[in-house]
Amino acid sequence: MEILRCDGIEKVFGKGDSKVAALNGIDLSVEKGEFVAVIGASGSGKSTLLHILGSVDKPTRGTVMIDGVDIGELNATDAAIFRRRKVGLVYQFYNLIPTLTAEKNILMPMMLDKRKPDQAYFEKIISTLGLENKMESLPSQLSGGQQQRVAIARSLIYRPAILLADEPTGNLDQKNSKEIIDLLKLSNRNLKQTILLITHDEKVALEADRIVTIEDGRIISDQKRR
Amino acid sequence: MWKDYSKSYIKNNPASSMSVMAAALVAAMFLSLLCSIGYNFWIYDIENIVLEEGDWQGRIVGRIDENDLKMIQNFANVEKAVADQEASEKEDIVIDIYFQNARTIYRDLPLIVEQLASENASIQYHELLLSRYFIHDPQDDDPPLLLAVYLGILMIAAVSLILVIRNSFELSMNARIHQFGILSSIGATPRQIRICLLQEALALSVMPILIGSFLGIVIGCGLLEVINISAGDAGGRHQAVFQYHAFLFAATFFLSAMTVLFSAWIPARNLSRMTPLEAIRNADSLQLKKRKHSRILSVLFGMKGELAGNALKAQKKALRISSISLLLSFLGFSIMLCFTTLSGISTRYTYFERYQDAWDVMITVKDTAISDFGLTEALQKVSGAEVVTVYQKAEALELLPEDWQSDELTKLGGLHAVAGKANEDGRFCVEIPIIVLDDASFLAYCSRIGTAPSLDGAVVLNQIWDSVNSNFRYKEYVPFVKDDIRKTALRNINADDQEIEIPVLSYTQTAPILREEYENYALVHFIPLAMWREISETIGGLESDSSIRIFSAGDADLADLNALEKEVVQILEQEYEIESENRVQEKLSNDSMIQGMIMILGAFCVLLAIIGISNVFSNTLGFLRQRKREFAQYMSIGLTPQEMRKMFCIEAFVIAGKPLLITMPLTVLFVQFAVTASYLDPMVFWKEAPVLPILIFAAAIVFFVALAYYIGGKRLLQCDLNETLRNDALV
Repeated sequence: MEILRCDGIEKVFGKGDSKVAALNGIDLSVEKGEFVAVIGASGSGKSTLLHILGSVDKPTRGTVMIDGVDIGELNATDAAIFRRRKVGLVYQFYNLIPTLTAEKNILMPMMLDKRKPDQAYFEKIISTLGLENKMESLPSQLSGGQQQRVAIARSLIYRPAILLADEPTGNLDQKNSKEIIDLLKLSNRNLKQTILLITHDEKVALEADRIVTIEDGRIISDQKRR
Repeated sequence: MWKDYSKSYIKNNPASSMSVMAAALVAAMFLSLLCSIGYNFWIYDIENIVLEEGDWQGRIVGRIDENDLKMIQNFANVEKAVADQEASEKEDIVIDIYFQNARTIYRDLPLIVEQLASENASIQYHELLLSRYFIHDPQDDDPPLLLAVYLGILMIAAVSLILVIRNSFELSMNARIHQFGILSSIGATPRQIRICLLQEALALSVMPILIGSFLGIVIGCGLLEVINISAGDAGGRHQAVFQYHAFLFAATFFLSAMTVLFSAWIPARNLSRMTPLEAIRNADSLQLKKRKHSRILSVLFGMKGELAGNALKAQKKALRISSISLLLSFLGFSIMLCFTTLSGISTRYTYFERYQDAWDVMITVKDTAISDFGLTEALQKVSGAEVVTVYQKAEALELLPEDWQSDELTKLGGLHAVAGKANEDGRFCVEIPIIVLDDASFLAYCSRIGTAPSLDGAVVLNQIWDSVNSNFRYKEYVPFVKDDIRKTALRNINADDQEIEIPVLSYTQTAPILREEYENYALVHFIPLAMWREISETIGGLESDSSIRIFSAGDADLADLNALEKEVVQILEQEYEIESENRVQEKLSNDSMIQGMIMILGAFCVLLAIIGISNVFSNTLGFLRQRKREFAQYMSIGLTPQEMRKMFCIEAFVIAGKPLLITMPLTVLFVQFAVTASYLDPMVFWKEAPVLPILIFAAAIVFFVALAYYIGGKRLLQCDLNETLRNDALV
């Protein structure tokens, strides 16, 4: 089942002489349950693609369908609600709310909907991510690896259609990087979570089922590994 | 979101909350002060009206008997109806009527009169008092807009406060753009973010608004006491007693809450409109959209000047409110002070100094001809009244043959120039203002100008303004007619055929000392009362009121004049309807009116300056977030802390200096224009120019802008810029 489909995505920044095309006709399809790594050098357009897929930015041209919804057609409010329920975003620098405990950070997407979490699912996530004893801690009291796990837990709490991770290991040491990638793989396998991982690290990309390579805003290769 | 996010943010960031709470407190205090002072002025105004004119709402005047009075008292909406003995005259009885609901007075009073037996009864409305209760005649197309003025002042104050305190909210909110970006990226809608921010603002502001409202009442009460003490010696003023109403408190609270909410809503709306990407990247570090040159600053201060200039250009939008507010406040303040100084000089020249030795107490005797006035001798006996002159003005015409005009007038263009076209017989019709003087004053005047005292003729003020060779400020006069003509033929201004010839005792260029301005191109005739009695029927043209000039020894103070005025009024008011003025009191009233105007306009300028300076403060207090990276980069390329401080000094110098530099030439131009237009000697103005207050105002602007930069710069330079540089990729 196709969960994500991009047709001819273009993204142009600036006007006139300072015009820069970050994406130049991206066509991409991701099936439910796939673990896709998007790899490319710095400035290749991979982060721009992730922002468009996460509905935090809009393409200049082209369409993006996630779980049957054309996200380019959504207004700011609908895009936010869609993001809350259908997309999980994980950033390189965790982006946790510093004044909230780990638990509240994780539950924030549900609280925005005034919904109570499925307690069993919540406990499953935190035990999978090894965060059982850290729920009352503030982000500043957690290590980088722990903060990234909280960010992953937050992105998974709503069982999103797709989890988008932007260089999630970019700010972590080797040990923590491996742990985070393992956790992503685990959630992909155990929770059947579709994941699209952006990275410039080939070693990290090799952990994915499929590697899409971007260069100058175009897909230059798309390899299935398993 | 409030429970989950805002509460913990407020708990963990007391410093950020403090500035919001302080802003709300100041806003509520100011609005409460304004409301309580406005309310008390309103009440005081009503008390004044009631004291001076009574508290009746409507009156019926006519031949009203007991039955009519009973009928009026039994009218449904009438609360009370009483016969006013003081106001009643002979058969015309005045009934003062008080209504239960005065709002329907304009409908009810005519209905009452219709039912009266008396056919000639007339209605009087206490329009002044009713208008203070915002009750106006529905037929009046142009009712006084008192309520609109009150509301307008409140609205201006509220909008000004919104501009001032908005910065505090903006500052607090901008510090969290990154967090709102995160919330937005995980699905918080713009509305949720906006509501969350408004809930925070309201929660933080409830207590400050309550405290501020109470403080405003206390300050208002204190201010009224200060006014009572400082204006205690003003004649005829009754003491103001501070009053308050629960409804006023509710209105103040509501207005303050709305002001605070609107102040928070503006930045909240802007913040909620940011895309998550913009917010997460927190793209609030200063950026120039295109290359700009700061030529003057780079010439004056080298590279640091250029960097400071570029930084200012990048902050142009953020500093727009301060630039405009500081410029308008300083320009407004300077021009207002120069204008009031000029106006004061002008009034002094044209009025107070000119009449310094002319009068001390002036009485206008209403609807009384000088020939019917019989208390001149009684007034002359009043102790302290050195000179008493009773006079009345009238108007007539005279037909002047061309050969009567003086040689000087001929040189200036002749009668053609001042009286227009000649009649068919070749004579020119000239307006003749007449001043009828009491006989004793007329004789004294004759002696003063060296004419043999006589009551058998007129003295003619034979002068005309030489507008060609002098200006209105320093007038020079030339003779109007040849001074060998010994007769003058006065003609009734309303009846062409009524003319009478009277002898001219003398031509003079010295007018009697009266508080009067004379026409520039007219022959003023001074006529004794004895002669006027003979010619008044033919000439007519009398004004309705007579005037009495009373002059004391010349060195009387306010107390002396008040006593003199009181005594004179006591004598006159038993027989005549009068109005009295007191020179010193009038000067004091005029001075306090100008002071009041300066206070109001000055307060407005200060308010504008506060808006501007608050904006500078909110900008510099946001440096830590906005400019950390910029200064870390400067540091990385070798800029020393001293050089960075110098950059701040240059920026502060430009922000504070720009309004001053623009204002100075504009003020000088304004003064030049005003001095020329009013024909004043420029040196007279420059000797009294309000240089010191303008310099103090300028120094205050410079001080506060420098302080804002000192605090913002210090905070920025004290933080670890190396850390910022290491985490450069973070933002």
